[in-house]
Amino acid sequence: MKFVIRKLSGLIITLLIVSILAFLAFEVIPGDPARSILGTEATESKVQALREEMGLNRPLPQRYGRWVKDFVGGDMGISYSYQTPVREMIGDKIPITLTLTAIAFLFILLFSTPISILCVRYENKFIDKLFTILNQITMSVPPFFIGIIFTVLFGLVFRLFTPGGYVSYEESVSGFFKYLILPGIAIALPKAAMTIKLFRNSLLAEMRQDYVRTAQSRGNNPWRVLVRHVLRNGISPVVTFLGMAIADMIANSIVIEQVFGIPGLGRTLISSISKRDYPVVEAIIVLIAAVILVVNVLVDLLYQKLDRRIEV
Amino acid sequence: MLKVENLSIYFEDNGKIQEAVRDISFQMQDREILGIVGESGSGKTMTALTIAGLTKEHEILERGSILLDDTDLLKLPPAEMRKIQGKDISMIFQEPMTALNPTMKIGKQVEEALILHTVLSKTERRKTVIRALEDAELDYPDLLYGKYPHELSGGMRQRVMIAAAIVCKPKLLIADEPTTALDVGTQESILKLLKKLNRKYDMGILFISHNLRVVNELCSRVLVMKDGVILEEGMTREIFENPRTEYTKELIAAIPGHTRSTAFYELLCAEAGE
Amino acid sequence: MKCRGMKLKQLRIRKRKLGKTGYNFVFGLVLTAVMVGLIILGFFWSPYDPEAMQGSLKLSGPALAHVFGTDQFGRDVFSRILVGAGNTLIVALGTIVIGGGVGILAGAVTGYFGGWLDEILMRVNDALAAFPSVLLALVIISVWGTGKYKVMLALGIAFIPSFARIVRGEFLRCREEDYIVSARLIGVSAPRILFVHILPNIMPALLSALAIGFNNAVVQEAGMSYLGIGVQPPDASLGLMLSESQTYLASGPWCAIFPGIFLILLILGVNMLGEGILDRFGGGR
Repeated sequence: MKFVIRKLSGLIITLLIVSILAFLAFEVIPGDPARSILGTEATESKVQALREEMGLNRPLPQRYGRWVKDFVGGDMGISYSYQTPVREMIGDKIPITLTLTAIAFLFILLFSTPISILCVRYENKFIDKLFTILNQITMSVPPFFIGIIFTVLFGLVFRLFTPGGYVSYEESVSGFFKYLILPGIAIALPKAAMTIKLFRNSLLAEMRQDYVRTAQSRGNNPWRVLVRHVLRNGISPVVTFLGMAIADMIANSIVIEQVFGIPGLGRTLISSISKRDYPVVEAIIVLIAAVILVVNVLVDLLYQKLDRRIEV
Repeated sequence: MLKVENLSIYFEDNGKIQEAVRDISFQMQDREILGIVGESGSGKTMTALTIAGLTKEHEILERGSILLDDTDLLKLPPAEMRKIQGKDISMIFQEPMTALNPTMKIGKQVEEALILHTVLSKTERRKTVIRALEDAELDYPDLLYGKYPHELSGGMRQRVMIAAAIVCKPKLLIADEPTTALDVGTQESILKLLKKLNRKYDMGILFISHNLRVVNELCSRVLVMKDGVILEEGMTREIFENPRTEYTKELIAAIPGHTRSTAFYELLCAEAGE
Repeated sequence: MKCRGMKLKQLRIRKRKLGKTGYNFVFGLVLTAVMVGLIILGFFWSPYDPEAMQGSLKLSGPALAHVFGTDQFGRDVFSRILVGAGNTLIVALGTIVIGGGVGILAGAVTGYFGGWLDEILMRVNDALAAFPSVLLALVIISVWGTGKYKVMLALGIAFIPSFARIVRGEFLRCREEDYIVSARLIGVSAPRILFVHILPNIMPALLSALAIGFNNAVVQEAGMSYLGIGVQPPDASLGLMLSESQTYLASGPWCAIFPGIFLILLILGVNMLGEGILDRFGGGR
């Protein structure tokens, strides 16, 4: 229990720091938000009036406090470019990006676990060596390039799907998920390769432990030894790695969305950056950071549950 | 029960073939407690592992035969050997700390041999496990069932390992230096436990050790091994009183606190004879 | 069915393999050298001017004249790759110099001295590390603008936390090593300990981290140029080429494939090199 509390308080502190940094980066440094909204042509008095209205002349800590309060309450500001609440702009896009990342994550787990086990069972035999080489190559390919290859391969050559033919959730649930599978795999593959490598090495190290011999002495066949005993003990580095990988994967989702034409957070983020629409950028960045931090805490908790030796 | 005939074991080291055990032969009767004594490198552990079928296929080569009641273990395919492991032959090891799976509950570990070799129901298995834990002289087996190895002391872990090994009532229990990592007090209690189980379960014990004193206490017969061969074989008392080879004499002399005075000898033998 | 007690001849004597130890390093070194060599060559010479458009040759496939074909403006793909990769290389190197330089310093100081400074910096570091470096770079770019050098700066700053964390871990570990403790007892000055004693010993882990950082930088830069917020046209960049070629995938796949393959080979080479260094020279783990 103490462990959980410790992790949660760490989470809150880090979130606070993130929010402070984001606030500084987007509200303070870039200059006068009021002027950005009104444009360079606006008169000085108009700008000042807006500043008063927006409370920009209040002391920094107070502005920060209000910003946090608003944000947590759901008010993420107003877009400079579109004059609409940011929340409306990105609200429906968040689940799309998250689903994409989740699909990729799932794929990594489902794909790398059996293959790692296979490689350990047949250590140094052909299949192990084959996967080692494949891994090495796959690790080195940027996900968005895999996405492009998929577009060419499955879209043009095999005609299995239409590039750019995004199906929204409202139109068809199955279509939505089906369309996201290929982009999800594209994101997942390089990370899956790294996971396999890590997992395999961890499992191999575990195989050298004494308890493996004890398990064998009871008459377990090699597969049972692997799955029932070694797997649980060897999974910790993988869990840690996947926790770190989530951050990368969300970032990759953003790029992949461009490749496949998926209307997620990515496109909005990019255009907002080009237009210097800070409230939007700020909101997206903070949200993503929050998700990543939460996932990391969940990973830590999972880690502790798996390996009871971690002292609470 | 167990007949080892002309057993030789080879392994590969850096591209060369080395001999671990050369042409040894011995026998074990049912319910006998046989000790194998020797230093590290004498081949005693290799012999034990080979009988238990725990050597790696491509790294070890064996010649000769190991007969368990007419079945040559060396000629068995791995799948067949696995039927015997845990059921007819079990093994316990030296380091209780690392020999148990740290992330698996005690109950599940002790139960494993039952799952693999019997068709008992879940409740029946649990009962058998509790009984095994009790026989291993562990208190509150109900509570222990759900605990993890790191929550137990070294002595308790060793008993758990013993419980897991006897749960299917094997004919032969191979014990590879089970007391070496324990403090003297715990050592004594484990040895007593083994003696008790030998009687209660009608189980033979092959006891490997480098410690003559411990062997003396537990084993009725003993083999002395050095450099892969059996130097001496006989009843424990005989060996102690009339060691035939120089090596054996040195081993006896090396027992801490031992003197060659007859009085001390008698004391030791009296202890062993119980 | 395998039985035990095989004939002596059947015992396979496995020669102690170099394993992937030797071959990772060597292969990686060779591949990286080749790629980097090509890129450096690109700084001084390329078969065609990468920006020269030859209208008549739009979207022609690989041929003797244009080894990798031409793009939709008639520009030679190969030349653009060379120059584009050059930009990628500059950005990636700049990134690890900035990120690595500051990160190593920060990591060394906090790892070695600890204390409240360490606590605070680590908290901040954790906060920054929560962001994928891309996002951090995006934040910086959104405030400072796009372009080759801004990307380099942004990525460099974004990479500081990861370098700092790795280096800090290493310094923390080494601080308690016997030879360091004795050096402290003798009274060797702290900077000397840091740079003369500890640094050489963490070299393998450090170089490996730099290699990984380089690769990440390459990928991120490509990604950002692809999205249009990195290197700007008419400058070339591998990522930019990939995005530009996307609309013409059906008619001119070579415009995407060759830059992609080049990218992969570069990353692969550095990857293997990084791993090879760890294999060969150990990491003290």
